[in-house]
Amino acid sequence: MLGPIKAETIVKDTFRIAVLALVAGGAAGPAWAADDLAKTAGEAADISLGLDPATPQTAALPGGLTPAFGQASMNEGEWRFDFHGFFTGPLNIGFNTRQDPRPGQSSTVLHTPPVVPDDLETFSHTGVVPMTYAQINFSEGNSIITAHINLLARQANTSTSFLEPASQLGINDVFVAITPQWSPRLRTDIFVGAFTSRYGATGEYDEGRYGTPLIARINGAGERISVKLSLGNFLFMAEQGIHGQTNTASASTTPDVWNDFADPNAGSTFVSHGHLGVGYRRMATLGLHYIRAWSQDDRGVGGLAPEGSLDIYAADLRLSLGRFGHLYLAGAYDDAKYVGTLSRIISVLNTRGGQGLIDNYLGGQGNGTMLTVGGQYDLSVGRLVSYPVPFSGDGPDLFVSLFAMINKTDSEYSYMSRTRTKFGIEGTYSLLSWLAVSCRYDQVNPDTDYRSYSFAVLSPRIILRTDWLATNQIVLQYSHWFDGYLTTVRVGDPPVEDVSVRPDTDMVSLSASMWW
Amino acid sequence: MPWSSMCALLPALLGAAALQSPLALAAEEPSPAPGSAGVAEDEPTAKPPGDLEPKEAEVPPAQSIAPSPTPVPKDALDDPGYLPGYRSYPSLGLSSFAPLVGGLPGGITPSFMAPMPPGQWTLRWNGYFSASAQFSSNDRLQTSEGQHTLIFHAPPATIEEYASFDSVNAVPGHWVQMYFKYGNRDVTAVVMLSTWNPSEPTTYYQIGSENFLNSVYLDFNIPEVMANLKLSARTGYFYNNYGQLGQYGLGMYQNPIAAIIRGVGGTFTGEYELSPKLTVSLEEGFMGNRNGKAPNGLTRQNPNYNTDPTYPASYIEHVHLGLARRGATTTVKAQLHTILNWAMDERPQVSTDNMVTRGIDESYIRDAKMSVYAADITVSHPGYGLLAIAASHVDASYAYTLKGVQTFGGEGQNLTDRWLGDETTGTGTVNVVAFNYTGTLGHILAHPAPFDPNRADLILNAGGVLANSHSANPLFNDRNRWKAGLDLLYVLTSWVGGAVRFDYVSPNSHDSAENFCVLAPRLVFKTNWTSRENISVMYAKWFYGSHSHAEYSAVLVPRLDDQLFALNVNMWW
Repeated sequence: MLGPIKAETIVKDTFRIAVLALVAGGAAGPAWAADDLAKTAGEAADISLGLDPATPQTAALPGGLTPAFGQASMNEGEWRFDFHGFFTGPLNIGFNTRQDPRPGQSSTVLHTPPVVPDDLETFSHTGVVPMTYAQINFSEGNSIITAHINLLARQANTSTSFLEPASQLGINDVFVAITPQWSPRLRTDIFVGAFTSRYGATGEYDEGRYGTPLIARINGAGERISVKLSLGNFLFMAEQGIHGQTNTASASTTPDVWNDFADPNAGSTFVSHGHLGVGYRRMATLGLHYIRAWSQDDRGVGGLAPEGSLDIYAADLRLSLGRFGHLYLAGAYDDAKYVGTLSRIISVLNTRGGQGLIDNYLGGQGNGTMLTVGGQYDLSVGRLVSYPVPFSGDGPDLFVSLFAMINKTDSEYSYMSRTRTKFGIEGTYSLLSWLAVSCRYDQVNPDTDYRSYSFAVLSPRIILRTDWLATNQIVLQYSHWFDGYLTTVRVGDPPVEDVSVRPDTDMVSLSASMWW
Repeated sequence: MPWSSMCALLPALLGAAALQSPLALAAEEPSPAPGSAGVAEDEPTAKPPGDLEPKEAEVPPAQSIAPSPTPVPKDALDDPGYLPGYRSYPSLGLSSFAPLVGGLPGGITPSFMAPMPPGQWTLRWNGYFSASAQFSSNDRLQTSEGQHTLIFHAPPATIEEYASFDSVNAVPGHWVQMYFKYGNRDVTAVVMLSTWNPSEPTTYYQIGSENFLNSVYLDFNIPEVMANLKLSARTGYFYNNYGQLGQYGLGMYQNPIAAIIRGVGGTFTGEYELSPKLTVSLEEGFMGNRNGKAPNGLTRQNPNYNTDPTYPASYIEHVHLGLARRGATTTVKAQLHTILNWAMDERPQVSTDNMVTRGIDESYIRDAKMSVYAADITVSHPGYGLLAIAASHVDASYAYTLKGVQTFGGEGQNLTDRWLGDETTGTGTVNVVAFNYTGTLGHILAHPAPFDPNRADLILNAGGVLANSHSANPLFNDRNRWKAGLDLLYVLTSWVGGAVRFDYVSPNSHDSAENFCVLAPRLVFKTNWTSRENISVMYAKWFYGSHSHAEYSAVLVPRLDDQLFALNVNMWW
C-alpha cells in the first residue's frame, strides 16, 4: 500500500503526470522484468491475437480499477474441476418529461430500460448504460485437454416484466481446448467445438470501453488452431480457424421475439479466418488478420440472390508498456457483397450477421466497403509515479482511459455512405480500499456531415468494493446526455429508430458486478 | 378441556424428556467443557430412547429443582436443522437465495439453507458433450450470375433424422449434459442441465433446444435391511433407459429396444445375492407427466414448442426382472421388462374434430394405452467382448397422444406417424429384434493374457435391427424394416486412429427402391491411448435408392444431400 507521501504526490501531480505519461508512453522501454502478477494496465499476462472465448461478451466495467475477468491456470497432469463466472445486474432508470401532463400525471416520467441512444448494434453504442449479463464457465481437464461448458443469460428472469426466451441462452459454448506441450519454445492451442473468437478487442483483458471488437466476432461451431514460436525476444504467431452454424431458419419461420427475430433469408454461412502476428518481449504485438464469411446455399432469399460474402482485412498493434500503460490500435477494412444472406455467426461492430450490417451500416442489398479505425489507452498513474517502488494496485490510484473509434462507410446506397466518429475519456480516482470515484465523457457523431445527430454523455460515478483489488463492485452512476436536434433512439421489439421519440436526457444506474 | 390440563397430558403422550424445558435438562447436566459448546444443547436428542421415558423419580418438576451453582448453558444451537427458534441472523425479509416455493410438508426436514451438522456432503460434477460442425453438399438446380453450382447446407439436409429408422447415427450431432451432484453415502441430490443445440453457433433462437434443468432427482441408498439385499430408490424428474445394447450406451443405433421412460415419479430397486455368482434384481417404477395436459385453448405453435392441448395426462407403470451370473471370466445378464403407458382423461375431448390433426379425432378421444414387453441378454467376456441381443413387442391402442414412453418407434405420436399410420390413431403392433457386438482384435488375440490398452488395436462394432409393424394402414401393415452396420476403428498411435463405418438400411419391405447405404470414413484424434475425449474429422456418403425419402415425407424428395463433412468433438468426465 502507498504511504501518505506517495498518495499525496498522486493527488498533487495527477494532471501533470497524466499528460506526461501520454507523451512518454509511446517511447517507453520494456518494463516486463519488474512486473508481477498484478493486473494493472500494461501488464498483459499472455500474448494472443484474439480474445479468449471464456471472456464475457461485455464491455469493460466502469472505472477499470479491478482486475479483469480471467481463468485461473490449470494444474498440470491432474484432472480437476474449475468454476468461474461473471455477472452484472443493473437497475437503470431514465428520466424524461411528459409533454402534456394531465391531472394525476407527473411531468417527470421514468423509463426502464432508459430511452437513450445506446443500442448495442449501432455505432452510437457507448457502453455507458450497464447491461444485464451473467455467464458461468465450467471446465474439467488437465494441462493437456480441458472441456469447457459455458452458460449465458442477458436477462435475469426475476427482474423481467415479460418473458424473452432468447435472453436466456442457456448452454452457450461447448468446446475442448487442447494445449500440447511440444517444447518450451513452441506452443499450440487447439479449440474444437462451439465457441466464439473475437479480434480487435481494445481492452487488455476484455472487449474494451465500447464493448465492441473492432475487427469481428466469429461465433459458430468449428475449430481454431494457434501456433506460437518463441525465437529470442520475438514470438511468432499464426492462427487459423473455420466455423459453421448449427441451425438455419426455414422459409416458414416467422421472425418474432421468441426466436430472436430469426432471419429466413440467411443461408448456411461459413467463416474462415487466418492471422499472423509477431510479439516482442511481451511488450508489443503486431497482428495481421484476414476473415472471410460466405454463404453458398440455395435457400437464402429464396435462392434468387447472389451468394453473399464478406472479406475483412485488418491489422492491430497492442503495446503493453508496463508502468506506461496499455495501448491498443486497430484498423479494419471490410468488403461486403450481397451480405444479406450471411447469418449471425459473423458479427462486425456488434451487428448481427449480414442483415445487421445492412440495417446499421450498408443499406440496400449489402454491397459496399467499410474502414474502421480505433483504439484505447489505459494508464495507472499510481504505478507510473511509484516506479521503481512496487505498486500493484493495492493503494490509492488514478486510472485513466482514452478511447476512440472512426468508421467510414461507402455503400451502394448513398444515404448510408458516411463517416462516423466517437471518442471518450474516463478517469477514476481510487481513494480508499472500498471507495473510488469515476467520471466518463463520451462524444458520438453518427454522421460527421450532420452534427445534429451527434450527442455527448457525461457520467460521474461512485464505485464501492470490498478491497483495493476486489473482484466485485457496486456502482452508483448518473449520466446526462447532451443530445443534438436529431439524436435518435431505437425503440420497440425489434428495435427500430424512431425520430418522433424524445430521448431521455438523464439516467441513474445502480449496478452490481462480480467475477471469479 | 382447560389449557393447563392439556399441557399436563402432553408429557405422557410424547415423552417427558422431549418436553422438558431447557432449564430442567440443563440443570441435570454438567457444564460443557470449554470448546465443546453444543454438547449440552444437543443432549435431548443424544439421549438413548430408553432415557426418554417419563420417570417420575428421576425427572422432578422443574420448579422443584434446587438451585445449582453450575451456570445455566445458553439456549442456543449452532446447527439447529429443522428445530425452530434458533435462526441466528436478523433480517426483515427472506434470503435472496431461498427458493421461490413454500415450505415442505411436515416441517421436520431442515429448510433450504438451514444450518446443518457437518457431514460427508460432497459436490461432484459430471458431464458429457458432443459438438459438431457439419454441413452437407449438393448441386444447385438453377444457377444464376454470382451463384456457384456447388451449395452447402448447415445443418445437413440428408436423410438422417433423430430417432427415425432411417437414422444410422454415422455422424454424431450435438448433445450436452451436465450433472451436479450433492450428497453423502445415503442420499444424493442430482440436477442435470442439457441441450441439443448450444446457443453459440445458432443463427436464431430455437426454442426448446435448451432444456435448462432437465432432470432433478434424489438417489437414495436404503440402509441394509437384511444380508445380501441392497435396496435403492430414485424419485423426482428423470428418465430411465431399458434394453440397451452397448456396455455403457444404446449401441450402434440410438433407438432403445425396450424403452426410455421419462417423467416425474420414482423407481424402487432391490438386488439380492442368491449366491456369490448369482444375483437377482427387481425394479418397479411409476411415473407421470409433470404438467400433464396443456390447458384447453392453447394454440399449438412454435413459441410453446407445439404443445397440443389434445394430449391427455398420461401415466407409466413399469416392472423389470433381472438375473446376473458372474462366472470366472464370463458375465451373463438377462432381463425381462414390462411397461404400461396409459391415459384416462376426459378433458381433451371437444365437440368437433380438428381436421388438421389427422392422427386424432378430437370429438371422440378414447382412452389411450400402450404396452411394451421386452427381453434382453448380454454376454460379457474380457477377451471376446460384449454381445447383446434384445427383442421387444409394442402393442398400442389409440396411443397417438401418449407421452412418457419412448419405444423403439418413439412416443405415441412418432410411433403413429412413422410405424402405424395416422388413420389408425396409434393402433397396431411393432416387433423388434436387435443385436450388438463390441470387441477388439487385441483382446481376442491376447486372451487369456490381459491386453495392454496402451497399444495399437483394432476395435470392432457391429449391430443390426429387424423390425416389423402391423396396423390397419396398408402402407405400414406387415411391413418389415431392417438395418445393419459395421464400424472398424484402427487405433494406430496414442493420438490418432483411422476408422470406417458402413451401414445398410432397408426401410420398407414393400419397396426395395427405398433401400440405401452409408459409407463413413473418419480420422480420430485424441490425447492418449485411453483418453476421455476424441476429435473426429468425418466424411459420409449416402448411396440412395431411387425411392429413398425422408421419414416424414409423404412424397418422394429428390433433393436429399448425399455427402456430409463434419468436425466432431466429444468429451466426458
